Amino acid sequence: MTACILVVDEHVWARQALCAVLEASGYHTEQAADLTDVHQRLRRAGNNRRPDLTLVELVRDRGNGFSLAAWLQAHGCGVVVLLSDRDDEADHLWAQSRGIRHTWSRAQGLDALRQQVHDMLAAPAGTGREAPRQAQPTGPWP
Amino acid sequence: MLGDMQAHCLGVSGGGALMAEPIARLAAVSRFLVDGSARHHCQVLCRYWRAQQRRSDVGRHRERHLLKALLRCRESLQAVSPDHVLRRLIVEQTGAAISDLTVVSASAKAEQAWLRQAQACGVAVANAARFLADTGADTPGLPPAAAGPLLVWLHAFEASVQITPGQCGTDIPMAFRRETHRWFDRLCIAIRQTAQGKSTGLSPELRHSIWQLQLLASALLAVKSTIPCPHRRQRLAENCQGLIWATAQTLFLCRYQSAATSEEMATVLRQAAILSDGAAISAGSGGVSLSHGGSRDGSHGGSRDGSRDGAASAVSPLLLLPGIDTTAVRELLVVAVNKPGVPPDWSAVSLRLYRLLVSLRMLGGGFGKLPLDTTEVWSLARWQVLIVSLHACANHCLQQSGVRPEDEVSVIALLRRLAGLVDTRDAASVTDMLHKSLMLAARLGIRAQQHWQKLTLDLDAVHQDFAGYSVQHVLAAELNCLPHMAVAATDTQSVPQDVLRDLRLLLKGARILNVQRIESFVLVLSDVYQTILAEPGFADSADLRRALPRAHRRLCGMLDQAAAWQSPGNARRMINTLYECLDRWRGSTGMNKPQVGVNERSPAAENDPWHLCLATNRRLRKLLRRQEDLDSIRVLLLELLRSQEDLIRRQAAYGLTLDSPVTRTGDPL
Repeated sequence: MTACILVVDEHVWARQALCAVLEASGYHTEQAADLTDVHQRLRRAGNNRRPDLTLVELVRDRGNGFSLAAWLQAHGCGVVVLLSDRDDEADHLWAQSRGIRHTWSRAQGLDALRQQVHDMLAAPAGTGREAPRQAQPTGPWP
Repeated sequence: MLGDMQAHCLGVSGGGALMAEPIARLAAVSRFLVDGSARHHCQVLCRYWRAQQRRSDVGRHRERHLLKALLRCRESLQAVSPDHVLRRLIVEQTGAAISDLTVVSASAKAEQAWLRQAQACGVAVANAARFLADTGADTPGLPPAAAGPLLVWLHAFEASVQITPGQCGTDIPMAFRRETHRWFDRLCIAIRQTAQGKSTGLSPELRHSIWQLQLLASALLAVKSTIPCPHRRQRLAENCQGLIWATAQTLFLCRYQSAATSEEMATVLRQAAILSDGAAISAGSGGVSLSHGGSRDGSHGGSRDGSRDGAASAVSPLLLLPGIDTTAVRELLVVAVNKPGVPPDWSAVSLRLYRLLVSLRMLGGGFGKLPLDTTEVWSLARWQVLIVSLHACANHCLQQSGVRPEDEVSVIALLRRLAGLVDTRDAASVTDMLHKSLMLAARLGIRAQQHWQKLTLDLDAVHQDFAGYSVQHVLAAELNCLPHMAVAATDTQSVPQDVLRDLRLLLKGARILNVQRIESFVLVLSDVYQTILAEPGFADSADLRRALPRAHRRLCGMLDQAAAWQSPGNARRMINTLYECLDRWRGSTGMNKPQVGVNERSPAAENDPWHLCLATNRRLRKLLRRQEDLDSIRVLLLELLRSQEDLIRRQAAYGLTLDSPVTRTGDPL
């Protein structure tokens, strides 16, 4: 069964471009702009098709990327990866404090990101793909 | 000219009259030819033609003879002279020596080997240069033994071999030249230290040297109008822009890529050496042009073939906007340019720029088509640097870190130019804009650093929690309990000291960063935890067990917002709830018996705005009475006053009073 990847980003162009690349590599992708979208998609898919990997954009117009990623991780949306291109080490540090182990950048292009996704999903449990420390949701947002 | 003459010669009639003028021009020009063989053939041709002109009978065999002389002349002019071959060989060897010398190695032994190799090459090319046809008295002497001076020597030598004497030199003012030399030397030392493992990545000394060189290049660019010769002025501008670009690329793009540092540093070193020496390298000679910085496609290794940087430098910088949706730029302009006098929403501007940057970065691997070619990679890298620098500027404006109104105006002007750029694609103005945005970002960065340093020194003098580090980094890394307490707040009885330590650090950080909402909330939470520490029974009280997890969730949300550079929401209701818990606990333990009226109020009265207002008022009085250092609770007092104001305003809007519960219209409720 192909791995399911959920991409959560308000920026439509970036979300669609990323999904197109991942689908071209044989992954099944789901797109969502915000938590309401995620709820709808999860409800539609049921418990049978939970994402194996969730990519969440940190910088958002509405809501907050850290909180969203922490919520998704706490609610069984697979391994949650925060996407940030602000080149700020503090993003990575704070994400780790909130229980989100992976923060990726797109500085090397989409192909490099696809490779990272591939490595992450191919890695056996216990080598970085294990269920991360339980993230702390912070309320009914964003 | 020879081509025209050949055409006339092959013509049926009238060729003689038409040939007169080209022959006269050829005779004049040929005197200046360096190649003796070509000069001889040209002069033979001219002499023969004049001799034939004096004779009246022009036979077929004479025409053939003339044509033959003409072809011989063309051939000799087009032939590669030994002098040219030697010159090219010397330039290639010098370029290879420069490349060897600018490789930043992690091994001191390898470094020494390259130095020896470059020096030997220097001696060889200096000896070979004696055989060049136009060797003058200004040929450099023996190459120096140290790496920095040797690099400058090689560049000077390369320039003298490549360029005709009239075009050499840039007339850099002496003060600038001295300063450039000084920082170039420092850069060499810092690179050597990095290579020898004394520091890793871009050390502070290295960054400082790079930054100083960028400033110098910028200053030189500003005074270039003092150079009278347009050619030299142009060359100086190209060299300065090359150095600015190379330094910017190193500082911006290689921030977290230590692997790429070596190549980027080599480019900076080359550019600095060129500027330091004042030499200008012609774009057309030998395919060498360093005017637009080094290559990203590994062309340093390929520089030995004499065509390094050729493809990339032939392209005007930023000429191509990679295939992103240009509406993103227009959206940016809409949010950036408000009505005159109204400051733009910097948060929206920053978001648009960030999205533009993400779009550009996603194209890096050649998404949706074949991999990007060298030209596109160059263009993309420049766009990325431009957007990164504008994003940095917008973030400084957003965070108000020492930004002046004129800086904001400059950022807006740059954003307008960016929008115009998408339409015009004018390469010259793009280069200028790249330079300006880099300089502005750097200036704002320095000012922000000074701003935060001053605040940190003022507020962190005793414990020095943030000494030498960014406040955001320390908070992100050092808060151990608070980020996990959103669901585990009930465990806090065991670790109130740890929580208090986190709260103390957070309080200081919030004060430095001037995030008042977090500061006031943390003050109340500290009060709660201090009470828990003094009286552990407080943690078991039913209302606190309900309120504390909510408070921690709220704080975590606010910290998430601050970490994402968003403005945190207010926590007034939570502050009031925590104060009520404290009041109730203190009342029940007789520590601070509340007023009878408040104690005896019915549950319905607890939500009555007037009662809430009264309670807030008492809290304010209590805080003022209890606290010796009022400045430390200033923010909290303000927050409580604001809360009180909200309550009073709400009541006033409905026209209610305690004594006459009627609406403004006079109707009883």
